[in-house]
Amino acid sequence: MSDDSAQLVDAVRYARARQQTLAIAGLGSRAAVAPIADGAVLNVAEHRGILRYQPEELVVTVRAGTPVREVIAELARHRQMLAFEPTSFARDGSIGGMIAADASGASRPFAGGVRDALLGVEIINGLGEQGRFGGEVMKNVAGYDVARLQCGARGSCGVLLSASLRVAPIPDCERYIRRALAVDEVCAAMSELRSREPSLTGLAYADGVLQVRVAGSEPAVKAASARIPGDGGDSEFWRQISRHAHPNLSSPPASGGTLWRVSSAPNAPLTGDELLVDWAGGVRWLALDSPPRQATSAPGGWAMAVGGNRAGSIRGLDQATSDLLSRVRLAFDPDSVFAASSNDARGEAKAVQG
Amino acid sequence: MTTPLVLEMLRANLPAEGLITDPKAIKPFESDGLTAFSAMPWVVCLPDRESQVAAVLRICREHSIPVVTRGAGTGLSGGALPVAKGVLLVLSRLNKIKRIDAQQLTAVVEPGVRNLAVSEAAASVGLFYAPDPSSQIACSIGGNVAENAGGVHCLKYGLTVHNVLGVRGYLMTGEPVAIGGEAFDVPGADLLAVVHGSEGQMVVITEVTLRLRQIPRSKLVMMAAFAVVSNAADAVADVISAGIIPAGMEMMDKLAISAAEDFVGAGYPKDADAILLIELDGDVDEVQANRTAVERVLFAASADSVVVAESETEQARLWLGRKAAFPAVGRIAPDYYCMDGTIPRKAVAGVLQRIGELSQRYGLQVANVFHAGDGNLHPLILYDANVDGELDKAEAFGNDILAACVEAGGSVTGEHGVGIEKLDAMCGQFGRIELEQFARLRAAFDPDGLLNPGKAIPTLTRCSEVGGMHVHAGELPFRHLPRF
Repeated sequence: MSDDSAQLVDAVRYARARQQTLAIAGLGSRAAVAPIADGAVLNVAEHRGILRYQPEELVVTVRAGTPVREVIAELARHRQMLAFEPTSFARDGSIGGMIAADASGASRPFAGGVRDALLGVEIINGLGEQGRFGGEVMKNVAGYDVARLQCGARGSCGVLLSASLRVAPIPDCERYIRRALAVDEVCAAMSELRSREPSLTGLAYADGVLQVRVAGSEPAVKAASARIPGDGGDSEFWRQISRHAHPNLSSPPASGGTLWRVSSAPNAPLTGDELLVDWAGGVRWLALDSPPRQATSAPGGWAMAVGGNRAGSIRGLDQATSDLLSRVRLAFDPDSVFAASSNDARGEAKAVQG
Repeated sequence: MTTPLVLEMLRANLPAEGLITDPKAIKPFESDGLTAFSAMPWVVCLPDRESQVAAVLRICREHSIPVVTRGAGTGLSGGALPVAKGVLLVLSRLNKIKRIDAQQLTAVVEPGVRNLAVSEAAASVGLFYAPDPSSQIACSIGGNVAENAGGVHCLKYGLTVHNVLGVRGYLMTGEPVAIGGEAFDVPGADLLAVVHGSEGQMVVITEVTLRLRQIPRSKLVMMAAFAVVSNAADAVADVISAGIIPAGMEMMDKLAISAAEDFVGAGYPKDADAILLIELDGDVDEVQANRTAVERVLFAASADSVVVAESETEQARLWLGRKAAFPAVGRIAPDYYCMDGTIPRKAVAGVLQRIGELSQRYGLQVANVFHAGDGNLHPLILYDANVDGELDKAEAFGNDILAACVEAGGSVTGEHGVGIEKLDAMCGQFGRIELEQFARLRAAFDPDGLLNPGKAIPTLTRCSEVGGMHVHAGELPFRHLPRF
C-alpha cells in the first residue's frame, strides 16, 4: 500500500520539460498485447492498494498498480467479484494494465467488459496534471466519459492512477456443458442459445467441441442446464482461456505464423481455420502468416496480433477513426510524452496501411 | 458569402419543406423538455436522408454557423436548446428501423426512431431494448445516445452506453465516422463510450446499432411500505448486500406517494412515509426464490407491508403511480423543478434529510421520486413561477441539493445531462484541470466548437464568476484553447 502519485506527477513533468518520452509500465504481464514502449520507464507498479471498498455500494476503488489477483481475493471475502471477467497472461497483471489493455474475458457478451464496469478514474495527462473523471456512483453523465475512454487506450490518454470499478455478487452456482459440434453449425447454435438462455456467462468453441458456461442463482442454473443439450464439463477450459493458457492460444502458434485475435460480428461465418472461438462467436483466434483482411471487413470488425514481433498491432481501423484516435491522444498528451510501442494502436496510420 | 446564398445552399440540399425559416413555424422548436429556457434559431433543417446531414454540416462549417442537433426534444437539461443565429438540425425524420437481427440480438436504427418503438418492433422475436427513460414513448435513440439516457432498469441492464454496439455519423467537417459496429469491442481508446453523453458536441449521429436482450421468462413487482424514510433507504442497501440485483428498485416519499395516488389510484398507502417498488425478473424459479429472499430483507428492515403483483395488470398498476409521478406532482403545484443528482447508496438517508432541511429553509415543498438502486435522486421542487422570486429560490434550492450530492461523493447529473441547466453545478464537481481536459477532448472532434456550443461543459470564466472554482488573479491558463 503506497501512494506514488506525487512522484509520478513529478516524473511526467520532468520528462515533458526535457522533451523525453516515458514508457508507462505496470507489472509487465501483457507484453503479448501491449509491449512496453521505448523510453524511460515510468513504473506504476508500486502505486498500489485498495482505497475504498464497501460491498453494499457495489464499487471498489483501487490504485492502478494493484495486482488484479489481490483485488479479486479481497472482493471474494465478501462473496463479490469484479462485475466482468478479467483476463490475464501467465503472470498476474495490474488493475491499470487490465484497463489499458481492455482485458475482458469470456463473459463479455453477457455481463459486459472492463468498460462497462469502469465508473471513474484518476489520471495524469501528458501535461503532468492530475485529474479525476467519473466517480464511484452507478450513474453519472456529468462531463465527457474520460473514464471509459481509457479502456483499450494502452496509456495513450494518460497514466492511470486509480480506478473505481463496479462489482457484483459471486453467483451461487456455476455449471459447464459441452457437446461435439461441426464447425458449420457453431454460429447457429451459439446464436440460438444466446437468444433464449438468460444465465449464460460463456459460449466458446475449440477442437470440435462447443463449450457452454452458465452461472447465477441455483434455480436459474438448474433450469438452464436442463434446457441446454450436452454433457457436463468442468471449469478447466474456462480457466485456461481466461489466462491465455489454452494450448490453442499458444504464441507462436504450433502451426506457425502469428496468433491473431479477431473481433467480429458474432454470426459472421467461420472458416474452419479458427483455433478457438470465444465471446459467443464475437472473438476468433487464428494463426496467420500475414495480417487478416477478410475477417475485419464486417462493420466494426478488427484484429490484433498477440505475441510475436507484431505483438499488439491492430488491423481494421479506418482512416477517419485512426485520425480521430490520434487527435484524442494529443488532447491528453499534446507533447507526446507517453511513448508508443512501434506496434501500438498509436501507430494508427501505419496500422491501416498494414 | 451572404445569408440568402447560404439559405439557398441549405435549401438545395434538403427535401421540400425540410428548411423552416418562418419564425411562426420555428417557434415550436425554441425549447426542448426544459421549457424554462428558450431561444429562436436562425433556421430549422429537417433532413430525411443521411447525405443531407453531411451537406448541412459542410455548409455550416464553411460559414462558421453553429449547429444544434435535436431529436424529439424531450431532454430535461436544455441540451437541445437552439443557439440564436445557429442552425437547428432536427433528425426526427431519420426514423427508420433498418434491421432487427434476432440471431445477433441487435437492432440497427436511425437516430429519430423512438425508444419504445425498438422494443415494440423486437417483441415479436422475444427481444427488447433495455434502457427505458421515462419519456420512452416520445424520446428518440439519437438523443438517448447524446445524453446517455437511463431509466428504471439501469441497476441490472445499464445505461445507454452499455446497450449500444456502434454508431455512425458525421463530424462537424462533414467527414463520416463509424465507431464500433456489430462486434462487441472497439480497437484502441474507447471512442464509442466518449460519444455517449457528449450532448451532440462530438458527432452528429445518423445510425445506431443497439444491443437487444431476451424478454425475461418471468417478472414480478413488489411494493413495500415504510413508516420511516431511512428504513426504506437502508432496505435498498440490504437487498443488494443479500446478493440480489433487482431489475429495478424505485423509491417515493410521502408527498410523491400522495400526489401519485390522487392522480392515478395505483393503490399506494398514503399513510406511509416511503414506498419501495422492486421489480424482479429472470427464470420462473429464480424469481420466486428471490421474492422470498427480498421479502425477508424488507420485513427485517421494518417494512410495514409488502404487496406482490404477479399478474401483468397488477404490475402495470403498481408501476403506473411511479411512471405518472412527475405529472402527478405537476397537478399539485403550478410549477416544479426536477433535479437529477446521484449519490452512493449509503448516503441516501442523509441526503434526503438534508433536502428536508433545505425545503424548510427555502419554504418550498419537495417531492422525492428516485431510482434508489442506483442512488439516482429526482427531487421535484414545487414552486410558482408567477410569484416573484420563486423561480430563483427554486433554482438556488436545486443547486444546494446538487452541492449536497457532490459532497456525499456523487454527481450533479445521473441521466438527464448537463445541457444548459447544470453548467454552474459542474463548477462544483470539476476543477480547472478537468474542464480544460474536456475542452481539448471536444476540440479533437470539433476544433471550432460549432456543434452545440455553450452546453455540457462550463467555461473557466463562468466557473470563476459563480465562485465554484478559484482562478488566480483572473489568469486563465492555456488561453489558446477554445472556450465554451
